Parts: sequence; C-alpha cells; structure tokens
Amino acid sequence: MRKVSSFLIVVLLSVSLSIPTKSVSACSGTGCRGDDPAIETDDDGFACSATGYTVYGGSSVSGEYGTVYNELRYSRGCESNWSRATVWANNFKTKYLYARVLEVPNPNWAYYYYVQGNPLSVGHSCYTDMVSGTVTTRSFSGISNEAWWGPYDPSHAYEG
Amino acid sequence: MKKSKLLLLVLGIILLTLVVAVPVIARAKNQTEIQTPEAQVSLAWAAYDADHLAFDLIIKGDFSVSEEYLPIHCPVSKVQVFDAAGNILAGTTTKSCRPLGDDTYALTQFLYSDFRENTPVQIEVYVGDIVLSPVGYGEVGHLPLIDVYNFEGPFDHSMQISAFPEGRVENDSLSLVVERVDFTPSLVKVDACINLPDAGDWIPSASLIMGDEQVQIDEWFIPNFREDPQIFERSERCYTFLAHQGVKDFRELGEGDISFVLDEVAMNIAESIDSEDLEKIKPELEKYNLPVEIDDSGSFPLSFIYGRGAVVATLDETEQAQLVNFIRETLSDVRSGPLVIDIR
Repeated sequence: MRKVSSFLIVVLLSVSLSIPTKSVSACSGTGCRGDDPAIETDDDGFACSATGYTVYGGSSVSGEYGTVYNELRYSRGCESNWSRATVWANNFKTKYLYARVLEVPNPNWAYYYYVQGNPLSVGHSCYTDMVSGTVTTRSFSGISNEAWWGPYDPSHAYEG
Repeated sequence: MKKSKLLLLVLGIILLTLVVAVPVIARAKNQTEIQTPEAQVSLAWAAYDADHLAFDLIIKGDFSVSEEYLPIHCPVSKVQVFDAAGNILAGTTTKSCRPLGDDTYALTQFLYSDFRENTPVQIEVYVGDIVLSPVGYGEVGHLPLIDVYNFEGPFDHSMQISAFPEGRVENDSLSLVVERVDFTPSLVKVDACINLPDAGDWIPSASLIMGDEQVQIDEWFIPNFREDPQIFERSERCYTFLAHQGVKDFRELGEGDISFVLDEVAMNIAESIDSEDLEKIKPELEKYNLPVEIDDSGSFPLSFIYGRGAVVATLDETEQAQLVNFIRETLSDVRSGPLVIDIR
C-alpha cells in the first residue's frame, strides 16, 4: 500500500501544473535536506546545482536491463550532496530508473527519486533531493523493468 | 481436607499453566529474534610494503533481508589491522566492496600507513552490524553483527605492489600525470591528476591496457573534496580510478604490460543551466512550447531531462527522448585523448 502511495505521489509530482519556482531562502549543509538542487540557492543566490560537481562516477550493468551511471553530486556553494542516475545503455525492458542518497551517520536522512518510461531511452536521468554535504554520503542507483525500486543491484553503491 | 484439595487444585493450575505457556512464550520470543545468516570469510590475498597494506577478501553468505528493506550493498561494516603489540594501525583507507553474484562479495582494501616500523600481523573483519535502508521512506533497520573474523600474518612483504610512473603526457587541451598505482590481484587503483580545460565539472573516461586487453575503469572519485573544496577552483584536478571487472592478475603480467589511458573528458550537464546555455537550446524548447524563463537565481532548471515538474507532462516519450538527446549534444563539450602512460 505504501509503495502504491509513493508511486502515486511521484506521478502527481510529474503531472503537476506548477512550474518549479525559486525558493526565497538560501540553504547550506543540513539546511538543504529535502530541497531540489536545481531550485534551492546558496548564500550568493546561485542555484545549488550551478556550483555542482560530480565527485563520484561509476557505471555498471544491471542484469539484463541495461547499464546505469551513478553519480554522487556535490554543491560547493550549498555544501550539499545528491545522487543522480542516468541510463547509459538500455534494452526494451528498461522501464524504471531510480537514484538514492543518504547521510551515512544519519541514515534516516535519505531521499530517492525515480522516472518511468516504456522503455526509458539512453540519456534519461533523474536525481534526488539534497542531503547535507558535510558528512559521508551513500549514493546508489538502479534500473529495472519490474518495479521502481528493483531488482536492486548493490554494485551501484558508493560511500564517500 | 478442603484446604489441601484447594491447594492441589491451585498447584495443578500453576503446573498446567507452566506446561502450556512456557513453550508458547519461548516460541513467541524466538519469532521476535532477528535471524542472522552465517558467513564464510576468506582472505584471498594480502601484501604490504613500506607505506601501505592491500588485501582481497571474499565473503560468502545469504544476507538477504525482508522486503521492507533494500538489499545490503556490502556485508562488512568494519576492518581493523593490528601490529604485533595489538595496536590498531590507523591510516587513510580506500575500499571497494562489490557483489560477485551467488551470495558472494569481494572486498578490496588499501590501508596507507608507515609500515617500516609497524609490521601488520592481524586483519580483523566485522561482518554484519549493517544499517538497512527502507525501500521507501521510513525508519532504517539493522542487521546485527554476525561475527568477527581474524586473519593472522605474516603477510607477504616481498612483492612489488605499487608503481610510480614518471612523466606527463599532454595534447592540445589536456595533460595527465599518474602519481601512483596500487595493485591487488582483483583490482587496480590509479591516482592520477588531469590538467583540464578549465575548473568546470568535467567527467573523465579512462581505461587500462593489461597485456593485449583494454579494461574499462569501473568507477572514479575525487578524494578529499569535503576537506579541500578549493580543488574545484583549479583546472588541475586529481582523481582516483578503480578497475575491477575484467582486471587481469598483475602478478601474471610482465614489464610494460600495463598502461593507463585517459580516453576523454566531457563537460557535465548540471540539473540547471545558465542563460548562456539556455540561449543555445531556446529555439528547440520553443518548438515544443516549453517555458524558457530564467529564474531569480539566473538559472534554468532542466526539468524535462530529469523527470521533474510540469514540462514532463506536456511531452510524449519520443519527444522527451529527442529533446534529451538534443540538449546533451548541444551543450556537451568533449576533449578527447587518448593520453597513455605506461605504469608497469
């Protein structure tokens, strides 16, 4: 039931009629938890993603579903992290792509996001909301045709 | 007489209660206990030199968890190395833990410390004590400690397990220095610095040539980015590259058989772009009647690439795929190698 609810929430987000608007307040570190890096800004007024760098990149084949590229992103301006997943190679079965991020010392601060297609094509990508960038972070991603969360391939995980 | 009958009745009830209830309570207790799987851990290889210890571990076991949680990505929570006096040898650590399939995981770890005086004699491996991530949003779970496994030395001290290639290779837009390479039979770790075209968010693609085969780098990271964020202001940036899939055992390769290849670097596309980049894709966005307004921070969120916001709903899957490809091709900037450095 909870899975269905989560699915509906994401669908509703996807079909929302409102264009993302810039948040008034700036964020830094733990203050960025749960915010969208493309929308939230740093103290200088730049989007967190504008000072974003990929600090980890890794690709791996996820069974028969395709290849996913997992990135841990870090915003220098916002001192925040988020995870991004991209389809690198697909087949007709590639339907779901997800990205996850969590703070290792505070694992209840965790976010995920997924996109769905039938099938998803190469280049499709999604990213999570932000966690604090001041602590070790785990970034993981997945690709499948069965359910948005799996089958989970742990080889896509990185901690750093 | 009545008293003794009553006493017998009470005792009988107590006895009956104990006979019936104790097993029920015990069964209930067993149901709440978390089952911990059994694990088999073997030290596949270990060696050290003056400045680091490297080892390959194989961990076998069925570490599956309930459907409420994601499968664990590594069953090992902690590794400690001790000297002969029982002191923990501390130092910088790099590790790679990866599933091999069939309930088997490989853990490769490098511990950098001064081993000229302190000889590593014992490796202690903690399996279990793992935080479990929920499938959706919810409280984390915990896989209890399964066991602590000890591996006694002496470990190999005669082998050359690192290489320090000299020289810099460069072309019109890139230059490359390999600072050090560390080997285990299952993994090659390359620390290299690249002089990039600028201080932007560049993504490197690299490979190894091992004998007559090219092995792709599986993963890379920028070390110490939290401690030294100034690195993002410089165009020379240092990376650690790890290769494990398809890696050949370094002990079976001869002199000159291993090279590091920087194939290319590509400018990354962020989650939002600035007005200059927006101008490049604006005509295409307008064809799809998509909004092209810069927000107050001077950036434009690329919602349609990342499946967020209203724009997704206005495009069908084919249109979205075409647009994603167009934006990537238009905004991409690739500087090609190959830049090759012989490392062994």
